[in-house]
Amino acid sequence: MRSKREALALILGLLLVACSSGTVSTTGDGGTATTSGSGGTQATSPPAESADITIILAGEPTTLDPQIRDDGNERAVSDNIYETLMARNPEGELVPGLAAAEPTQVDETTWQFTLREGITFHNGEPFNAESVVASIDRIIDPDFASEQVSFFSTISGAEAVDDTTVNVLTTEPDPILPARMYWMKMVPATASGDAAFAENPSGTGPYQFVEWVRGDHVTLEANPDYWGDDVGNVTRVTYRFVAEAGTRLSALIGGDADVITNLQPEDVGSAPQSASVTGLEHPVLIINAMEGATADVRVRQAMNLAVDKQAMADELFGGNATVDQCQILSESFFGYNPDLEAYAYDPDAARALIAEAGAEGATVEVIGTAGRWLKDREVVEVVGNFLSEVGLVPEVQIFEFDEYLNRLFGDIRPPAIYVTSSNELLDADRQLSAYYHLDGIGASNDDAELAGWIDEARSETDVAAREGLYHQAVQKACDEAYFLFMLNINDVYGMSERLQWQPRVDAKILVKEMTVSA
Amino acid sequence: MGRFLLKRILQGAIVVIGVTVVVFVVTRLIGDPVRVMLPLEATAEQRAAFAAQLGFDRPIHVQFFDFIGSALRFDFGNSLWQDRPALEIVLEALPRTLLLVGASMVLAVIIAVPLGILTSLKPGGFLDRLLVTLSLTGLSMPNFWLGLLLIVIFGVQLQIFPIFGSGTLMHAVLPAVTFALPSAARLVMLTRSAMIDELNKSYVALVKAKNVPFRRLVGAHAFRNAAVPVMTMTGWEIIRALAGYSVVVETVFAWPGLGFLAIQSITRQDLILLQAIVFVVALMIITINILMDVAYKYIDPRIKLT
Amino acid sequence: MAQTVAAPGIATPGITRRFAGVVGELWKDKAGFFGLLVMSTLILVAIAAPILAPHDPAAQSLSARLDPPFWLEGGSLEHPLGTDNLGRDVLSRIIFGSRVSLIVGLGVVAIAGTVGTVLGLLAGYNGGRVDSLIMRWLDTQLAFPGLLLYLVILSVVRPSLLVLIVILPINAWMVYALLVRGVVLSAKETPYVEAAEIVGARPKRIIFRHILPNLAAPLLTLAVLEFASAILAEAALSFLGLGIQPPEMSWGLDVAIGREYVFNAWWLVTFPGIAIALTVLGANLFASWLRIVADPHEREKRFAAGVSMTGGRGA
Repeated sequence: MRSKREALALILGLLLVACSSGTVSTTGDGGTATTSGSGGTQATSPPAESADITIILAGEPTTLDPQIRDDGNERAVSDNIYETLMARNPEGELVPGLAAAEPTQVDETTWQFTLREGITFHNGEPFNAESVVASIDRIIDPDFASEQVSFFSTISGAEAVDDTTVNVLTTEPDPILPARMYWMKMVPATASGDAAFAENPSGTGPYQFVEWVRGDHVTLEANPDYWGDDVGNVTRVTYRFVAEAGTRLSALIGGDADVITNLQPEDVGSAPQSASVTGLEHPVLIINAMEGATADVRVRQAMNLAVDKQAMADELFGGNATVDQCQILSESFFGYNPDLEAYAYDPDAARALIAEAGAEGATVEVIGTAGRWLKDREVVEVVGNFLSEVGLVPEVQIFEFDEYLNRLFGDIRPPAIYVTSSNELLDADRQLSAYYHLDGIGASNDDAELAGWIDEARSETDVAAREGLYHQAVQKACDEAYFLFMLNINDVYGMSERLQWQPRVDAKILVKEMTVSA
Repeated sequence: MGRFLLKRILQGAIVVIGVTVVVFVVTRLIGDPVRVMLPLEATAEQRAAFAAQLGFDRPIHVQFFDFIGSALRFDFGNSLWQDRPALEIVLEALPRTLLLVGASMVLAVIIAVPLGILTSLKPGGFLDRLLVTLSLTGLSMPNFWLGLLLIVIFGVQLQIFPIFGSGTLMHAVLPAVTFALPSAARLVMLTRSAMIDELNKSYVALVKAKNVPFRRLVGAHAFRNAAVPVMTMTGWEIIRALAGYSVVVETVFAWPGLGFLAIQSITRQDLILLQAIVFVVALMIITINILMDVAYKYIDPRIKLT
Repeated sequence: MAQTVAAPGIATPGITRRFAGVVGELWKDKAGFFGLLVMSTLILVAIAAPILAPHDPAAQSLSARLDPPFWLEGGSLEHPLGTDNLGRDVLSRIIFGSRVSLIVGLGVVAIAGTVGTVLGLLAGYNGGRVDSLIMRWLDTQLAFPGLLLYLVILSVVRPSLLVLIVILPINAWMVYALLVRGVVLSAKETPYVEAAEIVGARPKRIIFRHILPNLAAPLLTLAVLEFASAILAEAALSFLGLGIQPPEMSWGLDVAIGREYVFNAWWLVTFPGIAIALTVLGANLFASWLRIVADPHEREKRFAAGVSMTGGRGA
C-alpha cells in the first residue's frame, strides 16, 4: 500500500510542478472604458477618459531592442516606445520627428540635423546630440551585427556639433538619408554598454514599457511626460501574439482584442469593424529574361496580359488590393511613375504573342512558397492557372521557405519566381537595387542600361533628376516585362466597436493615433 | 536496482549524443539562418559579413566541437531569433507544455477510468460496445481538426472559453480537451482490458467464494488495476508531447509551449534554439523513462527491472 | 515438397467454409462490418476517382470561390460540398485526396511491416547477440523525440508523398518488431517447435512452417491499426505544411487551407476532416474486430468475463 501511494505522489508531483510554473496573466481587458451596447452607436459616443486596449499581433516580438532585428512584430510594439529623427504623416510624407526641422545638406556627404529640445527618455536620460551619435554608432557597429544594416549601409558615422545639432556622415552622396533616419530608432546613450537593454527598453515615445511575460504578452502604458500633444486616450496597451488568423479573429469577436493585424480579406464581414489601407507589399513574379522561353520579350508580355489582376484583387483579396501600375512601387514611394499603366487582361492578345514567339506549349516553372506572405500560395496557383489558359504549360512548385530562398537568391535564375517586395523606406532605390538592377540579389535580367540609371540615381542629390531617372527605369522594366506585375496589397486590420483608428500607409501601428469611445 | 539505473543512464547518454549529432548535422548541412534573418533586399556582402559575425563561416568541424563543448555545460549560446540564451527560452516553454499535458491527463483520467471500469463489467454488452466505439471514434479524429471544431463551437458560437494564448487556467481548457480526448479514448481501452484480465483471474473466484459483494470486489481492485495503465499513459503522453506531438494542438491554439517553439525555430532557421530544444527534450524523455521504470517497481513488485 | 503440393487441395474447402464463417461473424458485429465497408469504399473511391469525381479537382474559378454546400443558400448541386478558396470543387478534392491517404497508408505499412517483421524474427528466433543488438537499438530509438526529428528532417528535405512514405517507417517499424519478437519467443517454447528443432528441421523451415502462421493474425491486426495511424500522421504533417505540397492534394492539406477560412467557410475544414476521421475509424473498428476474431484468447476472455459477471451478481 505504501509503495502505491509513493508512486502516485510521484505522478501528482510531476503534475503540480507543471501547474505551478505556468504563467499567470496580470492584465485582462477590463479597463475603465465600457462599450456601448450595440454596434453603430460608437460614432456618436464621446471618447472615454482613459482606456486599456489589447492588440493582437501575428507573432511575438523577438526583442524590444529596436536596433538589432528586422522584425515586423518587434516594430509593431517598439514603434510606440521609440522615435526617430524623421517621421511620416499618415499619408506617408516625410516630416520632422525628433528633429526640429528638415535636415540640411552641409556638403555632399554630410547631413545636418537640429534636434528638438527638452525631450527625455523614459529612463530619465536626456535626448540630445550625444544620444543620437550613440544610437548611430551602435547600429552601424559591425560587432553589433544588426539585421538592419542594409537600411544604413551608406552611413559612416555621426558627430555632435553642439548639444542639439548632429552631423550624419555618409560614405558617398546619399539623397535618401532623411528617409533612412525615418527608420533608425533613437536609444539612450547608455544602451550601448547595457547588455540587458532589451529587457528594460527605454525610448522617447508616447508609451513606455511596463512588462513582458515571454510567450504571453507585452504591456505598455502612456508616457506622462511625452513631448507631443497628439496622443489619444489610450492609457495602457497589452500586446498578445496569435499566429492563426482565425484565432485572432475569434478573439476579436469574443471581445478579447481591440485591434488585430493581418485580418483575412474574407473575414472583413465577420469583424466588428475593419480598416483597409494601401500597404507596402507588392507580390510579383520575377521572370527570367536571360534564358529559356521567357528570354523572348513577347512571352513575358504575354504572361502579363494573361493574368486577370483585377479579378485577383476583387475575388482573391476581396477588394483589399489594387492592381500594380506596372512597377513594384506604391504611389506613396519616391520614384513612383504616375504615367505607367498596368498591362490589360487580354488572353487573346497573350495567345497571339505566344504564337508569334513560337512558344506554344512551352513549360514555365513557377516557383512560390507558402505561409510567408498573405495568400502567397494562392497567388502562385492562380497565376499558374491563368498561364495555362493562354497556351503555356506552367509547372507550379510551392517550396518550403529555405528551398524557396535557394531559388530566389541562386545564381541559376528560375523561369519565374514569386516574391513579395516590401519597402519600409518608401523610396524606389531599395526595390530597384534588389530586383531591377542586374547585380541585384533577386534580378533576372542583364539590362546594363537599366542598371546604369539605377546606379546614377543612387548618388544623384538633385531630387528632380533622381526622380526622372527612376521614372525612366521603371518605364523600361515595364516595357520589357522583366516582371509579371500583379498587385499592391492592402493592410487589413480588424477592430472592436469601441475603437476609432485610421491605419497608416507606412504600416506603423501607432497607439497614440487611436481613440476609444466611452 | 543500482545496476539497472546505471545501465539506463548510460543508454540515455548515448541517446542524447545521438540526437544532438543528428540535429547538428541535418541543420548545418542545408539551412542558412542568415538568409532568413536579413531582409530579402540585403546585399550579398551584407549577408557574408553577418554570417561571419555569428560564426557561421567557420569550418563545420570547428563549429561542431565548439557546440558539443558548450552543450555539455548547458550553454547553447544565444538564440539567433530572440538574442538571449536559448536554454532560457526552452525552460520558459517547457512548463507550458507540461501544464497542457498535465491538465489533459487529469481530464482524461477523470473521464476514462470510470468508463473503462464500467465497460469491463459486461464485456460485449451494449454499453461496452457503445463506449468502445466511441473511444475508437475519439482516437480517429485528427486533433488539429478537433481543435478547430472546438474553436468554432465554444470560442466563437458560444463564447464560453478563451481560445488563444496561455494566460489563465481557462485558456488551457480547450487545448487540454483537444489533447485529452485521444488519451481518454486510449485509457478507456486500457483500463477495460486490464480490468477484464483481473476479473477473470483465479483470485476473483476465490474472493467470490468468500462471499464478498461483487461491487466491493470491483471497487477494491479497480484502483490497483487502473493505476498501472494510468501511469503508463501519463508517462507516455508526456513523452509524446515532448517528442513533438504537442506541436499540432499548440499551433492551433497558439499555446506557446515547446512544440510551438520548435516550429517557430524551424521556420526562423534558429539552429541554436532548435538544438537546445532537442537536447532538453531528449534529456527529459530519458529521465521520465527511468522514473517510470522505478515507479513501476514500486507500484507492482511483480515487475522485474532488467 | 509433396506436402506443399497437397496442401491447397486439403485447404480449399476449409478456407471457403472459414471465409463464409468469417463474413457471417462480421455481419453480426455491426461495427466491424462498418469498418470493412469504409475500408473497401476507400479503396474503390481511390481507384475510381477520375470516374466518380464530378470535376477536375484542380480546376479553379475565381468567381466561384467559397461557395457553400448545396443545402445552404448560395450552394448548388454543381458543387455538392461547396468550393474552396480558389473555387475548386471540395467533393472532387476529397475523392482524389483518398489516393494520397491510401498510398501513404499502404506504403508505410508495407515498408515498416517488412522491416519490423524481419528484424523481429531475427531477434526472436536467434536470440543472443542479434537479439540484444536489435533490442538495444530499439530501446535507444524509442527515446528519440520522434515527431521533432520528423519536423527537423522535413524542414530540410523537400517534403513529398515519396519522402513521407520513406520517413514515416523510421519510427513505425518498431511496434512490428516488438510484436513479432514476442510471438516468436512464445512460439519457440511450444512443444511442436521444440520437437521440430530436435528432429533437426532447418531454421528457415521452422520459421515458415511453424512460426509465421502464428503471426498472421496479430500482424494483420497491427497492420490495419498502423494503416490508420499512418493516415493520421500524413494528415498532421500536411496540416503543418511539412507533408504533401500543393498543387498535389491531400485531406490534411485541405484542412490546413480551410483553417484560414474557418469563420466564413466551415465546409473547407469540416469535410476533409470527416473523411480522415471516417477512414481512420473504419480501420480501427475493423482492426478491433479482427483482433477479437483472430485471437482465441480474447474470445475466451469475452466469454469468461461474461460468465464471471453473472456468477458474481448471483453471489
